Amino acid sequence: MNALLTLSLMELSAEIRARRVSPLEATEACLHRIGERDGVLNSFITVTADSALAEARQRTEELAAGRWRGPLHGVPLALKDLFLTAGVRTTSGSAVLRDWVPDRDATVVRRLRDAGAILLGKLNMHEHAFGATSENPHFGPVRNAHDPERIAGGSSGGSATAVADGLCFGSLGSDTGGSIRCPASLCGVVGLKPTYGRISRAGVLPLSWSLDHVGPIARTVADAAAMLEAVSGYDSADATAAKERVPPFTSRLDAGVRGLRLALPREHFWRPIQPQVRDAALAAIAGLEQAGAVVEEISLPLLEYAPAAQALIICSEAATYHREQLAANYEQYGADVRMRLLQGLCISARDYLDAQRVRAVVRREFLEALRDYDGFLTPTVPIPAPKMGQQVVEVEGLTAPPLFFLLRNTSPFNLTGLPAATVPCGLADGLPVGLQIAGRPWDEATVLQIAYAVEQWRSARITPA
Amino acid sequence: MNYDVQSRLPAEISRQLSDAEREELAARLAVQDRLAAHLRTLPHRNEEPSLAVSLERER
Repeated sequence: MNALLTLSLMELSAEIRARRVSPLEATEACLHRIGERDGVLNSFITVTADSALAEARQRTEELAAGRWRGPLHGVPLALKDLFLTAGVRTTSGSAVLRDWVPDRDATVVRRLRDAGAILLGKLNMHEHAFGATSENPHFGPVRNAHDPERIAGGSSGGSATAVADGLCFGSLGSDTGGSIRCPASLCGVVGLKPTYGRISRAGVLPLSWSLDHVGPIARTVADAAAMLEAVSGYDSADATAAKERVPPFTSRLDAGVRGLRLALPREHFWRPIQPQVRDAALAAIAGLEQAGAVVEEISLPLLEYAPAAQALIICSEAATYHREQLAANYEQYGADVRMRLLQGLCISARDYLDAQRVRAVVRREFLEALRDYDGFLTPTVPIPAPKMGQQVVEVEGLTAPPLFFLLRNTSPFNLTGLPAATVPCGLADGLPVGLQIAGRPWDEATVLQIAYAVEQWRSARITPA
Repeated sequence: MNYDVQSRLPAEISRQLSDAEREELAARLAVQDRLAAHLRTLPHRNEEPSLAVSLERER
């Protein structure tokens, strides 16, 4: 692999700013890598090589004229294929939208362009973001960069495996039950789901409007922080976007964790769990303690209700959004997504509202715990990446489909709207394991600070062989 | 519980289901209805505002 592609986004950014590497060189290196590797990984649905090269030439000329837009200037990135892109097809991984070309950019796409990023194309995903394996029946399955016989996770599977294998320096994904953090964890990269309302969703095709979040996937915590900084903030085009101040997320990453109080919820997250995943997560947590954090077990008994509330809300909202399209294009939906939508259509308004009420109770319990603690620590996904097509996984005597495990630990933070990140912390069966860190509303800075400490403790990046 | 799938789906969708899908959906609805019943066992849920209200208050 071209040595340029082993750099992190921030390392590349420094090289570009110092004019030792040009945006054009970086973009050409990524396009070459896509040509070399994506026949195996299948991470892109659409590669926009011509426009990426044109953008790269413009960014190169701007630098020559003394204009530097910021850390993303000239950095090649890619987008999950549910962000609207003017003039470039946006499929949502579906047959229904296979040839749909929007006439406008999503707000976050416009913000990335304004920040000087080069957009390489649109990334493969689980159809309509409604699943966690990214085994897409229309565009083919996304494969894990660490083992192509295994899934990349999902629904932002292309976004994670492309970053892990050097096809781009960062990507944007969406996360409704864990669709950023699950694939990031399985592919050995960093993923962040911010607080609900932190990043605009205008121009992002929805799955479940009260659970959907947008966020970055990157190779390092600093890279994710830089991307978060570029796309965060109020947007009048999204009624749920908050007028919350956007702090400089990159500035206090290295503040350390001494004195921070971190909670380990004893329910739900630690059983069932594959033993090597548990050991890797516990080793990282011990590393945080060695660095001065105070870690204590706590109890969150209402977590027991979270999976049911999450399932009813996501299915109801998704089915409401898709109802007319499903009626008109029934056969064009993949079998798994179609079945989940049918389930959603059968949920009564009363049950949906009950789920929303339960959600508020669970959220209150989480917020009460966060009065005494700066964050929660959990394994991100309790199993390493399953094989492609695997129907069931057996862990600690429990046999269930992969989906049961893949989003189990991440979805409570969609339900509660709290910021949560995953950072690589070790290996299980030679495959990446992530530690999940969640924090108080609007306090992504502390979440990233803790994730950075884990990254420093581990010191070596987990890269594909 | 009523697992008459036909009556719970919009007609324009219900008529497109295959027999196998109808059978699978009925099995899934049995599980889903149990989840909904489980939520109704949580005490005090009627005292709570919706999440949207909670988020708005925090801004």
